[in-house]
Amino acid sequence: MVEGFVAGFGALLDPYLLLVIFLGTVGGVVIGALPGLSSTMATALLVPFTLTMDPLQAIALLAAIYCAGTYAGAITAILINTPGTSAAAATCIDGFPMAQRGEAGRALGMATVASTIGGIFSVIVLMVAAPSLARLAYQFTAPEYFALALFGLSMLASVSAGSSVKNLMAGVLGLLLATVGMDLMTGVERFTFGQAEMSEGISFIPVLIGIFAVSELLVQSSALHRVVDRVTMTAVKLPSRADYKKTWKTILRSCGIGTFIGILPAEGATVASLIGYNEAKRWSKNKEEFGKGAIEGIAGAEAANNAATGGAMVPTLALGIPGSATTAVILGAFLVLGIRPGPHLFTEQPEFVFAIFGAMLIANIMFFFLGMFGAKLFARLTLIPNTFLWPSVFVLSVVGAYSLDQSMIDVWIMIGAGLLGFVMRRFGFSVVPVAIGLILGELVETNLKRALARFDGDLTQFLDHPIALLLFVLTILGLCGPMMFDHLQRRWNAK
Amino acid sequence: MSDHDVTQRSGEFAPPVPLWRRDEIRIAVAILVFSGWVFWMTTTFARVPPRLSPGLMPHEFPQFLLYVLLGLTALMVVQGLAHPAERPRTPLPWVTWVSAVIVVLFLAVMEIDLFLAFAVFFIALALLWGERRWQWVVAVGVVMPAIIFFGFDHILEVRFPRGLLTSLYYD
Repeated sequence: MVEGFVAGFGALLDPYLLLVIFLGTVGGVVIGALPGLSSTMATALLVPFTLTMDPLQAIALLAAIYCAGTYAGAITAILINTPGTSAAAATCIDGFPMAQRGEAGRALGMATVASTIGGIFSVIVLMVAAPSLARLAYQFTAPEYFALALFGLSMLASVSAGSSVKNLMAGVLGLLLATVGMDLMTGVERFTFGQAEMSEGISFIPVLIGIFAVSELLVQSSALHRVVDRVTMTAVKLPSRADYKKTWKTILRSCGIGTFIGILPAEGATVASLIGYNEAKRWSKNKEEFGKGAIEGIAGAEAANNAATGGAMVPTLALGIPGSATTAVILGAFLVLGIRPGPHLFTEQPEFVFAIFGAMLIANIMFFFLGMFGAKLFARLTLIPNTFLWPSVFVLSVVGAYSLDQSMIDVWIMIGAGLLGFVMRRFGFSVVPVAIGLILGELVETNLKRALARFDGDLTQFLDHPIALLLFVLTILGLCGPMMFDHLQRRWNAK
Repeated sequence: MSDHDVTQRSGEFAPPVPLWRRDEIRIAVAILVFSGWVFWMTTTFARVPPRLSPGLMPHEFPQFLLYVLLGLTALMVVQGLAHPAERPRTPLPWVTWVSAVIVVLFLAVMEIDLFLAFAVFFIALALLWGERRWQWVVAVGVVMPAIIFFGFDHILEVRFPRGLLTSLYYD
């Protein structure tokens, strides 16, 4: 492992790789600062263009976009009260009131520092936890993998603020989409409609581009006349000693919360930032300041959402189970590039894994400097008119979907997925579970079949596998927890 | 009138929403029809001897997923009827409907030529969304697809499908 660490970090001395990470970081900040564009959408759009790149450069680019994009949502959250990404929604609550009273620079400085600390903390946890988890997962066989994938799917119940039942329904739809194509064990064609191109199944990249980019275009079309309050800013200021004294406990707590939430399969930066913010408020001595411009609120939300990025990479790399929507896309990129994340990746290509860790670490440091010196410039990106931005996003979506396999069917699939995603969002469904279900589908079905073949169809033999059993228990808790919580919350509200 | 028969809007009691107009019922009907169609599809899969598929037959996993989907749909309906939404959904603005139609029309124009479709889509959407600097719209709508075309063709070696305009270049 030490050799892997040295070789992986040594690879980062390659100037071309550093340039790729820098471009990814700049791209991530640009995308994160533009309301409506998210790092999930950006990574989905970019995957087809990374196919000609070296796999390490490709994944480093996507990881840098992920880290920087999560941070940059705070820029517009603070300056125009519109979160650049959903993970920055909690930052608006105190960031914009601070900006309104002339402290935009101080608010952005705190957001930048807290995000950087959160990001670096989580990458360090990633470096320690991922190899350990991979070592544990090395003993996994088909029953454990099936139970693990099921646990990942159960976490979809609480993936967004929406109804847990609807999230699970969307996850099942994703699994159903994953059954399209040739059955790997028998060669039987399923839902291919006689099209040879469908035999290999639905490529997930066009689906991901559709549900994240095209559906967002239609969502944006219904908010064209939104009026934006804009606050001007002179320069980003580093937090003062008093600010650090006030927020260091909050930042540390949010680092822990964000990393833990990120490690849980399917839970991402949005959930982490909301919990980080709530906990900052709960533990604060100045609760009355929250909502009126409390610097602890910004620190709590921003440290947590960036801590979730490294956390979310832990299950993605060690187990092949996505930790968030963006890591689901990154997992898809791994598969498209011919690399299967999981315990074997750590033993066969440790230098590759450590180079990704290093790339994330560098991206966190780079966005700190970009944020401190370029936030004012990036904030001007919001002046790009939607009338030019979204048609351009659509054109890139079509080209991205097409260029993957140079197939027009993928364009049809992308647009179909986009329309479906829009209808789903309109009726209160999250599209993230569709993405995760689609990516995990093959893992679930293949391992269930292998386990059943091994057990001669006897399901009770799962009980002989303690890790699988533990994961089943966690799955039940993951499924019932949010539903019980919904029920209790309704009863509480009714009182 | 029970609590479940009314929808509360801004503190006032609105007339009850008929059952068939409730979102949960509409979604459930759509899923029922979709599931029925998918289930029928699974019955058309080729059958293989059990020894070739010792775990699960190819049609069994999708069918199992359909049962789970229907079970969850039933749960959603029960939850939805027990706790109706406090605020009705706002109707979609006409711009969104027309934008969706333009997205679908893109597929039709794409069959004639992909880059013609890009230009038409770009110009139509920008003007629909209220852009009045039509010279800019036309310029960007034509130049951007052209840059993408040449960039992808030369740098990434992506060959685009032949159409009315692309054939002129490829020939």
